[in-house]
Amino acid sequence: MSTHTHVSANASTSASMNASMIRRLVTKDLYLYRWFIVGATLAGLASLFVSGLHGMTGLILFMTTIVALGIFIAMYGILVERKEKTLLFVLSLPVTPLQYATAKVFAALIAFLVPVLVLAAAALSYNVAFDPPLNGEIPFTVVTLGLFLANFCFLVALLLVSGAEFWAVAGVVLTNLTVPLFMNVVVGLPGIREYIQGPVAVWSPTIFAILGTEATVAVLSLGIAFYVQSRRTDFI
Amino acid sequence: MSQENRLHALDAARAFALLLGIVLHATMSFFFFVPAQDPSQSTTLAVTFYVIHVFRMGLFFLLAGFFAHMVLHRRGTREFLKGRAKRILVPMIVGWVLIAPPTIYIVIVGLTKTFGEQAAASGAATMPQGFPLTHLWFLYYLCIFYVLALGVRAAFVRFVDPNGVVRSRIDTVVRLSLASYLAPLVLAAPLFAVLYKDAAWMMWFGLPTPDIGFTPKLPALAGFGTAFVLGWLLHRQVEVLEVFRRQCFVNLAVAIGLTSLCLSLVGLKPNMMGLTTLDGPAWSRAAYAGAYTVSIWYWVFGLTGAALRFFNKPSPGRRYIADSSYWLYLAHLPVVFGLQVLLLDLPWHWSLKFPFIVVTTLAILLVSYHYLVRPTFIGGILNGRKYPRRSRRTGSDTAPAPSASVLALHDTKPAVLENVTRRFGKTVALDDVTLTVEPGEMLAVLGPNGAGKSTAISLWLGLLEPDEGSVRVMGASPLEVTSRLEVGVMMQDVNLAPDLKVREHIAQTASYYAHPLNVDEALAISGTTPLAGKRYGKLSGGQKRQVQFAVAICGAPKLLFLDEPTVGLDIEAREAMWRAIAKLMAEGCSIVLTTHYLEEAEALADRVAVLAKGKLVATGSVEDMRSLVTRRRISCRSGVDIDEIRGWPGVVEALRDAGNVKVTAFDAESIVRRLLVADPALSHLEVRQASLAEAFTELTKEAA
Repeated sequence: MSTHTHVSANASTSASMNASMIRRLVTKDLYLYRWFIVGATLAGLASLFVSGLHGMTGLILFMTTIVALGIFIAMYGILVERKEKTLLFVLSLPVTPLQYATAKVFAALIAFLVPVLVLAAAALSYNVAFDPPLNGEIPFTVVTLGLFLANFCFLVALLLVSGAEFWAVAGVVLTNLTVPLFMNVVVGLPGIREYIQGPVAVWSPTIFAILGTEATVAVLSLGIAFYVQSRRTDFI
Repeated sequence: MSQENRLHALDAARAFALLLGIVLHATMSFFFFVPAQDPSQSTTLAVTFYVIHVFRMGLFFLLAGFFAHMVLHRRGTREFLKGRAKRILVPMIVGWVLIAPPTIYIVIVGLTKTFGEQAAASGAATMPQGFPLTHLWFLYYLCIFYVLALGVRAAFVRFVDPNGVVRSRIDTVVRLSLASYLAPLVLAAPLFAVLYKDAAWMMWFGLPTPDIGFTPKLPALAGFGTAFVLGWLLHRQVEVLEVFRRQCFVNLAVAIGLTSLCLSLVGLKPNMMGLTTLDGPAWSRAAYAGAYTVSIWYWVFGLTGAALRFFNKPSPGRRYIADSSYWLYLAHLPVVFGLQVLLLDLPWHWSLKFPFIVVTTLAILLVSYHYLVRPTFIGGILNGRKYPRRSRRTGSDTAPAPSASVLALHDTKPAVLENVTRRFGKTVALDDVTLTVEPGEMLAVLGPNGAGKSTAISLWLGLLEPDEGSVRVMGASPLEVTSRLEVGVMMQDVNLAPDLKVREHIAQTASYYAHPLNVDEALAISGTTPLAGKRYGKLSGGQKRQVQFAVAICGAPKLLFLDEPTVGLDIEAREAMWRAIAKLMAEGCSIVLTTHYLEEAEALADRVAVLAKGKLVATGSVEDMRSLVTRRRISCRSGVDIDEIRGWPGVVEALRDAGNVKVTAFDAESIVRRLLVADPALSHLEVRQASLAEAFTELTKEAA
């Protein structure tokens, strides 16, 4: 019951080819990001050390490190590539636009998540050193890291779709504005404020609702970016 | 949108209609008593059934009519009949033998479990009697429509409209009415008339499913027949489908509105005590019948348009699902009904049972399709071809080899632009251009700035899509990665990552190809060995071009695009690159070269294509290009009257310049003879053969 007007590649071959090509592209990007990953991890660890001496300064440095990492990866990996006209070179290779977008997103996520997870683990270990441990802060820290991840995904998606400097700046401003708003509003929400200073980590429905919202923003942003990229026909 | 892309979209729509049938049947036990009444009943699933039932088969028969006309015109009546017998008649008969008995048995078991043995038996006695066509009724009606269509068409062509005038008028009516948004009102009329008059019409169930008895049912003939005929007529003027694409959101919005109205009139679930009546004023029956029948068409147009809008690209995954959908639909009913009966006693909520039934059915049938149907004769019948089983991979985890289709096309032209038009806004960058590259040749594409050279290259690389015409690279679409595995590209205005070293760039790029050169080989051929350890960002402009050349050839391409390759190179580097290019050509590589250095084209190219203002103004060998203009230039000192020369046949232009006579003529030899006869004292005679540069200037000036 199907028409055979089009000579399409065997589906299974396409799938393995797809995975193989994406892996190569991801490896290339990670190689280019390697100094960002190392630098952000070191800077984050240093900020944790500073927070032991001066809590607020260390916290601000820690957050700045993660925000800056996200911006650097998105700008360097996507925007600069377009600006310096390396994108056309990549697209002239046997690579589909969707493979390119998938590899970009995977590489960016890995480059972002590896330092963030390392730093989160370090912060958790650091927390254990307190007596009693500030476990009540853990859920709030997780949703804050979730915000950074959602913001990062949004920025990556925006740059993938637009590729324009104007939108990059707008995206950075917008995502940065969400951080103080988030810190002020979310801390006061019921389900968070009563437990944040406590010795026990309470995973209230509020926490899960925020995490769900962050996950939705992240998935939706990337989903739209993939969709737009898969339907693009002009790359010049 | 190309014809090919339209077919991808329509194929996806047809698969959608078939697969929705599985969902539709899976809802039944949750609001109805066939095959069994589940204790967990659902209004949501009743509405789901209702909505799907409104449009599903209308959409299917529209597409069936479209494809029937297409196959008939492509293969002729005899092959059409053979194909339909194989793909429709055989599955129908085999299905009745193998699928209908277990389905009926499961329904009996389900009814017995629901109502008890006695009630089920007495209920069965009151059911309509006749041959159980089961869900395969649609194949039976397809056969009826095929026979009717062929008969009516033959009579029409022979007796009514031998000159095609009437058909042309029908096409016009179809085109105009579809463009007006009002076509559904007209198309709904036959079914409206049939249903409205039918006192036994069970309104909630919409267009009655004709699954019992061989006697054709009037509602099915009116509803599905109209859809089939419209599909048939649509294929006569496929561009009309563009209207569906454009209007899809409006059509879907109207469809949703009308279906909501219908549900508000008839209720969200079937009222088993009053299926043939409506609560409310007398006009509500007419309103319901009108809204229902019109909504069918808005749904069908809206969904067809959505498919054309969103599924118009080739996709191996979608292709697979489209291929499998026929088998899935044919075989699904006993599985779905069996699961519904099996789950009857489980105290699960419908929100668990329903997805479980759908997912399990799809999983079982997809596995059976993959292993028992697709690679076997059954696949040959249902899909029109057998797909070979996947062979175990033996190679290392390198990039896969090009597909068989690509390999098979080595004998064909490596790069083709066929009647391609590409616009940027109001600017026509390429205007109906046809260009081909033969195996092993170098085609130089020449033209002034803005001539369309870069657009042509971008089309070949899949960076742009043509507005009209087709583009092929290594026999396939440039959007197919497999075709690009044998293509190397050196673009004019690109950059590579500045932080990577030259060796890293070449190794990285080579890894994307199936059979690349090794890195040292690529470095040596391109003359970049001394640069291997340097970062790309630290190189000079000329060195960067050399590295880009190395990157372009490292995949051992069979087709190489070189866009201004020697810009910025010193003479030595340029000659080295020429030697490398000549070596690649000697090894059978086809090359497309764009350059402003005409001596480069003159030295290297087998053939030249001159573009000007988006049009192909000339194509041929370098000698051919020269010959287009060399016959025109004669210069001498002579006293012959210039006006007299202008009157000679073959003279394009004649003028006197500082005592010299300069003649541009088509036939230089005869003009020279006449000049010598007219003026024996003629001196300083010069018949000049134009260079490629002059030919180029002349040709592009003419085009301007």
